[in-house]
Amino acid sequence: MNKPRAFNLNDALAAWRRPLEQHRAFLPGDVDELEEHLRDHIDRLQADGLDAQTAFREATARMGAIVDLEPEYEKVRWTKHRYRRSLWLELFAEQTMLKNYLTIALRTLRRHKGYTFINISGLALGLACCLLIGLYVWHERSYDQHHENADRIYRLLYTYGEGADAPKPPRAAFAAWGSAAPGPALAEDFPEVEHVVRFSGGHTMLLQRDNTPYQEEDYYFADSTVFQVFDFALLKGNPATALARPNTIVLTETAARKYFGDDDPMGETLRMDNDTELVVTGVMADLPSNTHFRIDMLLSIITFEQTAPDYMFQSWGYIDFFTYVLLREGQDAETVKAKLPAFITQRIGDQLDDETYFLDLEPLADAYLSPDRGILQVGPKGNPANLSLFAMAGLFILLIAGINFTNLSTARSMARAKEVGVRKVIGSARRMLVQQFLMESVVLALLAMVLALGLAALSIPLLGSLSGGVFTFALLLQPTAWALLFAMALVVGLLAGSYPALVLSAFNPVVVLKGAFTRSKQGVWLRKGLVGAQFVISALLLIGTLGVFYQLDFLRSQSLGFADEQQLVLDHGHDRTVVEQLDAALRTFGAHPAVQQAMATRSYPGSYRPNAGTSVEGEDGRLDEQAYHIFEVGAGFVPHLGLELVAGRAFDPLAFPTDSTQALMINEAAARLHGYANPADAVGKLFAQWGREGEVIGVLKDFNHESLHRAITPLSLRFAPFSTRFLVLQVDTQDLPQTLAQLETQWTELFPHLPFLYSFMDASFDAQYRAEERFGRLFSLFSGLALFVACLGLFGIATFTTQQRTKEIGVRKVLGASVPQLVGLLSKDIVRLLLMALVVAFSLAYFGLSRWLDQFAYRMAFPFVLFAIAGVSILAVALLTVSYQTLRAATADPVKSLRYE
Amino acid sequence: MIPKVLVAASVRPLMLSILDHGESYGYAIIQRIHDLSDGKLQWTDGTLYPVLHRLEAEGLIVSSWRKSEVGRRRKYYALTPAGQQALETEKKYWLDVHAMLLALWGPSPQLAGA
Repeated sequence: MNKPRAFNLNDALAAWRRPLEQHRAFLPGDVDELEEHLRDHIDRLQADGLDAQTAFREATARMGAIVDLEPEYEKVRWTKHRYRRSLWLELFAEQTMLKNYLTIALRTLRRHKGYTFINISGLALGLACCLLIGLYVWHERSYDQHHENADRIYRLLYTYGEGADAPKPPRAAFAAWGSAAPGPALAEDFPEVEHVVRFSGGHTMLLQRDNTPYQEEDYYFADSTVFQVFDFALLKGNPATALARPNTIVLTETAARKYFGDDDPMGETLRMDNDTELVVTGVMADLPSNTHFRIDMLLSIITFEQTAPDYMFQSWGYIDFFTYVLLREGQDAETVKAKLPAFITQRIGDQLDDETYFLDLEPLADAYLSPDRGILQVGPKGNPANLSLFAMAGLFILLIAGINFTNLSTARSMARAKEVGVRKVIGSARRMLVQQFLMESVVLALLAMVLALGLAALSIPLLGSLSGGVFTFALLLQPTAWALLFAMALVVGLLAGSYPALVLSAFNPVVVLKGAFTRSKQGVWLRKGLVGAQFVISALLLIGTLGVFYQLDFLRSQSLGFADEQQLVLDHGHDRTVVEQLDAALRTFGAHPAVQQAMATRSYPGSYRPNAGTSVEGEDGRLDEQAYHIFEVGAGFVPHLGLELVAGRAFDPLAFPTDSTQALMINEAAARLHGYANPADAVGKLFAQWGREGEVIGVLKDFNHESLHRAITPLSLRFAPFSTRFLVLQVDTQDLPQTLAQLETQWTELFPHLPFLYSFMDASFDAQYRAEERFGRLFSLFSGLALFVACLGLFGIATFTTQQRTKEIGVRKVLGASVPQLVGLLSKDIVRLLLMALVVAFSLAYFGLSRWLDQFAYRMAFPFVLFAIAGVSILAVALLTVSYQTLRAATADPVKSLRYE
Repeated sequence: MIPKVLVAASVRPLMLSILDHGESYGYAIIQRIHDLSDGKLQWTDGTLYPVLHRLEAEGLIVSSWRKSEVGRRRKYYALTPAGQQALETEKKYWLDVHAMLLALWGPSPQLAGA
């Protein structure tokens, strides 16, 4: 017989504590406090003569039962500090449940390896693409934002309108390459303006310290205010004075190292163009990659001004400057803009002859991604249209991956209907089920995120070479990248998981457990719609990619109107010695057996060319003044490039000595501009241009002297061998290396003070399409990946649907259906869906691609053949994907399938 | 016995007033109210602690665990300046109510017959 155990107060209290401790409403300290209360009370009751057991009962009764206390404690629980710290965990799920969800999630993922693989790898691919695109877009949008005053800096734009009261032209008509005079005038007249800085560049100079000369292009003359406006960090030198005096130069670190190695360049001199000594007055940090400036060195603008004719700095019509304006803090650009017309009238109103001059301010942030501002920019120019296409592709890819994810999860979860039913019967609340499924998809998404990071890191070298160096590891190492990736994964996980979570958790357990569900139609339409959307997107991307390539091909196959091949261009950068010995030099090079022709010129198609105010006598006998491009050329330019004359004759200074002072050639576009529909009528008309007067001697058939992005614009040619910069040799390209080596030897003998710089005309002309080419390559890579991800998803869906129809297939087979019949039956749905998707995609692609093509002056007719190509290839890929599954199902042993379920 | 609604309403001013006399711990506070009311205020002891916790969360009182003179760990509560203020406000409310009732029930009811 067991003796009843003696009452032990401590044991009793411990037993009393236990249920409280397990309840989340009570924190450990709360229970301690209550226990101490009980002990006090019991002490007192015992002092009154009660025995321990009775005292314990009495005290606990007064304390109240858990059911009474819990709601009160629960009410104040959220106000307690220690709890707030773990609040976010609490919000998601109770910790123990969280652990349980995680376990189940991992178990489910492990059990269905194929599904997990498709889901994770598809999402990882999508995330990686989207991350890289996101970083690229972010990089492109971050241009010039590192200047402290970035939001107060504006670029001065200008344009002309025809007529005295012309309306303001569209934004795209404004150019950044303008005159020197408006800048200082602005600073004088506008109290809102804090500083103005002008840059002048786009030329070449020869710079040398001792013996080795380098030809420099990325240099600018700049006002001394440049360091007050921009954050070009001066590592050495005084920003206030560095560019204040004539003949001073500030080098970037890289340029300083190039000329001075480890020596201190401060106060040292460099010789410019073999005559001017420049004193180094500062060293500035190299510019970051995300700025629209390409600057290796800055020279004081007074260096330029003191040797330039007065009109260059005083005229509002002479174009060779970029002006940037820093507004005072708190000043509104709109106020300044509103006052610009009055300012112009006051300053130059009396000089304007039946035309209107416009100025505008463009925020610095827009300088890189603004519309095309004409041929000359300070540095590189982004393409906003391509960038938004890119961003769209990124979103599309993420969308495809997300849809996949949702589809696969939903499809998979149908098979888990029974699990849901059982859980519900056991007592799982809907909230818990939702949490469980969300947990699963978030775990999947996070796994995909890790994989995506790896993929992105691996693909960066490849992308780096495809994109021309925009993608670097540094991009990936930024916290922004990680945050972006994490946010994307979380959002996709939650969004993609929410649909299956809500659908699944809503199952009626009775229906599900009876087994009715796997045959239900619920969710089929949504899934089909999502798959359809994926294919719309894939087709769009495919057509877009092919379209870009077709257009590039079209551009390359265009007849340029001049002989661009085998033209070797030697650049002497307006060197005086070369110009003085031009004829001798051309004879020397022309005598080389591999050289067929040699000529000199200042500009050639695709290269830099100035604008010139040009007046030609109109049909009414009055001089009609227009501004358009000018090529200053040497003898033989026209035959050398194989240009066609439509009227008159080409320059021939031997037969017509006046050609070097009184003759002008124009192209058909220029003739039309001056009002001559028939080019022959322009020949013999008077002209005035840049100090020359005489007659138009010939009209050239239009040739592409700029780029195929633009229609052919008016152009004039004048004979000016002393202004030339390039020697152009038409060479036999057989054994080119040897020819080049020999030419270099000749060059060095003739001009020992000059570096031998050469390029090929066709290559430089093609370089204008390099951006498109890069874009095309990147775009095709990403759209290929998108298609792949979409197919992964299709594969998953096909697997699932065939699985669902296992029994049907078995029955059909037993009844005599053949394998092809079955495959047809199973593929029918997909094909119908695809056809619908293609119709939608085609119409969208038609509008999208047409708009993209519109930016080219030479655009192909809309390539409808692309629709066929895209349609057939997508259909083929999709059917291949599906047929693997359907074939397997159709050839399976019906006995097995009939035993299924 | 005082009805529940009134008990609930008066717990707050009661606790603040007790702590106004000096810091104290849960059991002692509850015991004090018990003694004062002579058993007319009745509650389950445990539900009074959440009230203290709420006052603490509102910043009217602060708590600290300390060893008592008999060697037991106790959580002491003390009034903060904000608590003092809150007590003054409570006092005013209750005295106003008290004055109103007194006016109605007193020896010369001002509103009688009006």
